[in-house]
Amino acid sequence: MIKTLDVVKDYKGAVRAVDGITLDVEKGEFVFIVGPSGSGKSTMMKLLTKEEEPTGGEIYVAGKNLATLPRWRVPYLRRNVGCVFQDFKLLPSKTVFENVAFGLEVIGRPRSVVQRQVPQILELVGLGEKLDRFPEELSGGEQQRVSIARAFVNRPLILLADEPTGNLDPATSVGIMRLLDRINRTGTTVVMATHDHAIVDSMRRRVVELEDGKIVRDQSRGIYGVGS
Amino acid sequence: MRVGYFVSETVTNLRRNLLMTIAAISTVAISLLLLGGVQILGIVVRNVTSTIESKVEISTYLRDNATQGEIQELTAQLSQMPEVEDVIYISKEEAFEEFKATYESQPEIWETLPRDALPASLRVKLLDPDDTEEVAARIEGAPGVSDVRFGGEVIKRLLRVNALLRTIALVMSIVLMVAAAALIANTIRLAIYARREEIGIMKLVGATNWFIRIPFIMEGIFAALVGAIVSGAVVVGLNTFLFERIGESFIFLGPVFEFSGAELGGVLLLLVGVGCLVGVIGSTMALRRFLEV
Repeated sequence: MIKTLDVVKDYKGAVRAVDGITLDVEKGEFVFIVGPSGSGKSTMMKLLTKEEEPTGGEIYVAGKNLATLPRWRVPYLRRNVGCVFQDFKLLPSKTVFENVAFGLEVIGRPRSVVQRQVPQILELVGLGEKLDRFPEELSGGEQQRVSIARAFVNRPLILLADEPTGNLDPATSVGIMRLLDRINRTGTTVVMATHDHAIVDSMRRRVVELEDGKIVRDQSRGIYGVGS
Repeated sequence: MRVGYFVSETVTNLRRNLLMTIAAISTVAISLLLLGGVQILGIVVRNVTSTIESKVEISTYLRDNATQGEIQELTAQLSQMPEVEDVIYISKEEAFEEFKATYESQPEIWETLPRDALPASLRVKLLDPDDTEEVAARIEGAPGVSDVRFGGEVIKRLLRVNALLRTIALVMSIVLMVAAAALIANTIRLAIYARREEIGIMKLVGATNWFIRIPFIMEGIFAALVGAIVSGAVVVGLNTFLFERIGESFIFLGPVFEFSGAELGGVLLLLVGVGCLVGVIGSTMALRRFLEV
């Protein structure tokens, strides 16, 4: 589902953020990408959605070679790759329903599909009662659920989560992890960047550890790690 | 549903920056008004040139007491000049009939005139309008001639003034159009800035570039189109309330301010077309610089 071959990414000023990463993620896997800040986690995530172009190496996502994927095809790639962020990225002027519906409307889904799928997905993430609330009326955990609903409403093949629990307290984080686990069980590949030890240790899933842009550990059913 | 989405987005954008939108619309309207003015002027001048005597003719008015012999001699002399193409004798009777035909719809002008009120004349057609002055000078003072008139110089001067006015108006119009495009671009830039969060999310969830761009392009075209309609309305208004009145009051000017529906329609079409173009250019400028999708 995701395959990278010796990927390198240099930012301006000769900072090497990613330094020769080769990674293979199968369909339906749940992978943690761990490591300290600046180890290249976020850059990896951006490379997978072609938000950034690699300096070298090859990247395949959902069967597409990103290097040869024309710019106008990138939106169609992103429809297959849902994204969740630490800061939720919800629109404050839209209700919960509208925020999720927005994600479908702007990719041209007909109204009937929007009307059917949005309540369904909000039910799934446990917000079936809060369709008409505005983001600021919700707790952080609930806002992240809306964000996940928006990323997943289109049933993408892959869900990328960049520090999704970074702004949440441990108890709320557990709820979010349950939700991501549930999504993973529907067959969706989940890649989650985090530096939350407790979560990684409790899930016992594959762990890829980065340091200075390199993979220093790739372990199935792993824990966050001893050293850090 | 998509059309509804685009329209509501466009309206929201326009309302959010009402002042900028108004500035953009007015600039488009003024620049197009100048362009429309140039076109109208062109038509007026064309009407004038075809109205004022004839282009390459010298009217040699004859004294009432000129003898048959004098007239024949003058005609023969003129016919022999190498510059002259043709000489036609217009009798008093013919001159009156022509006058009558010109002002057919206003009988009060000619009804009271005696049939011999107008002088007889020789109409001299030249091969080259540039010789007009020289030939006219030669005729002047010949026996039996009372007056020599030619329209060539007037028309030449008129055309020169017209060309100058057109150039000035066109340059001003282009400068204003550039300003209008820049204002439209700026309006759209503000709209893009106001919606940067939404645009970010649209990109994130895989909205296509055109889907993101269309409301902004529509905004630019809409502003320009409103400007074009305003300028078009002013042109039509001027035609109805000013030119037609002038034409009626100053009948001796002839059909200078008469425009056919096709002429007027052509001007309006031009205004709307150029307006849309300005809108598209303005939007494109904004999108290229501020919306790297």
